[in-house]
Amino acid sequence: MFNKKESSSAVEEPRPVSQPARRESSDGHRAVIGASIHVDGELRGEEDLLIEGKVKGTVELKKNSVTIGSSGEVKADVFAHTIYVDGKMHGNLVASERIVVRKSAEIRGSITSPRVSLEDGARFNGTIDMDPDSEALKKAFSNRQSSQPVRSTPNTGKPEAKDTDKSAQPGA
Amino acid sequence: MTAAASVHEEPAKSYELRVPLFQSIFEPFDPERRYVVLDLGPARSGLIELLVGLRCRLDVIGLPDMLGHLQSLEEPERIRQAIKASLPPPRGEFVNVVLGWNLLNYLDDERIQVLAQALKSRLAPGACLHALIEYSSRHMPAVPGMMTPRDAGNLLVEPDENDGLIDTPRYARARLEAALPGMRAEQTMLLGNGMQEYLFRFSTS
Repeated sequence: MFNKKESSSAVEEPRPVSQPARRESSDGHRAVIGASIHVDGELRGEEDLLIEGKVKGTVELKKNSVTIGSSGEVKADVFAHTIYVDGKMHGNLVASERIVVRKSAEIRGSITSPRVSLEDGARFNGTIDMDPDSEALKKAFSNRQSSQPVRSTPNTGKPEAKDTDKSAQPGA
Repeated sequence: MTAAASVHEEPAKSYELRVPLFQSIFEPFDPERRYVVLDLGPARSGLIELLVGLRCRLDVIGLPDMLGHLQSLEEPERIRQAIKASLPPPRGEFVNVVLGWNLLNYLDDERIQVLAQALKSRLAPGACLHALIEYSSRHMPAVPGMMTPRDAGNLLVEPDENDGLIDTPRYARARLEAALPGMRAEQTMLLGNGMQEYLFRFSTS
């Protein structure tokens, strides 16, 4: 449909061979912030995380997945490889690979990822940016390689022109 | 808001609706170009799937959840503030496409005008507004039903008649243009379900 970039799709795709695998936690499990836990500050790490409690501040797990569970309440900026949202989220979600919003989710803020899926019934108010060249994505994952989609346009060998300020007139 | 009417007809069923003007918005999208789409309705999977792979930013304001509040406000300035508060930050970008779905049917002339004024400063020159207006039918569900793109040219319409039916405003083209300052109806089309499909174009002049 349209002239879309080939590799961007709402459907789960097999990971290309050259794409580095997301880092799993060493014991195969994910860390959990339980429902009675409140965290206020900055969270960093290199393992998957499930949030069922309340988190305020910043969550940075850029090589791992973050799940905001159904009882989770997050007021934070979240940076991760993949983000799943079942609970309440107020802030900015940035994922280098994919963001999945399930129907129980309530989100106010922004979602930035080249792949976004949202189940009908989810409550969302804000911005969804699926542009793989978006400034927010570049800034958060400046050394990322895995999520750069293959362009459908032929490679002319010339540098690609980037013009984010052009004012398009759809439907003209 | 249109006058309420307790009319009960056959329960409405979901159906697919061909929407050529909706399709005409997205077909010329250039994959190398960035677009900003403003959805006045709730977030819906079908629209996200339609836009995925394009260099798109989608702003969602969920107007249906605000309808009761907007209708309770009398002063235009308070209505404008409520709409503005629901808009995501512009982040230095202007909106190219506004998707109004069937929502204008649920606003009176004054509220449509306030909505248009609230959006005006956010629109790029040449931006378009797509809307589906009740035309043939005298009644419509009291709450707006969901419309989800199946593909670029077809919507799945899911009427919600749990709250009964109300009279349709049956807006005519001239009345809509009067309520949408700076917009002119560029194309209109009568659809299979009796609704009129509109593509308005925003002009700075």
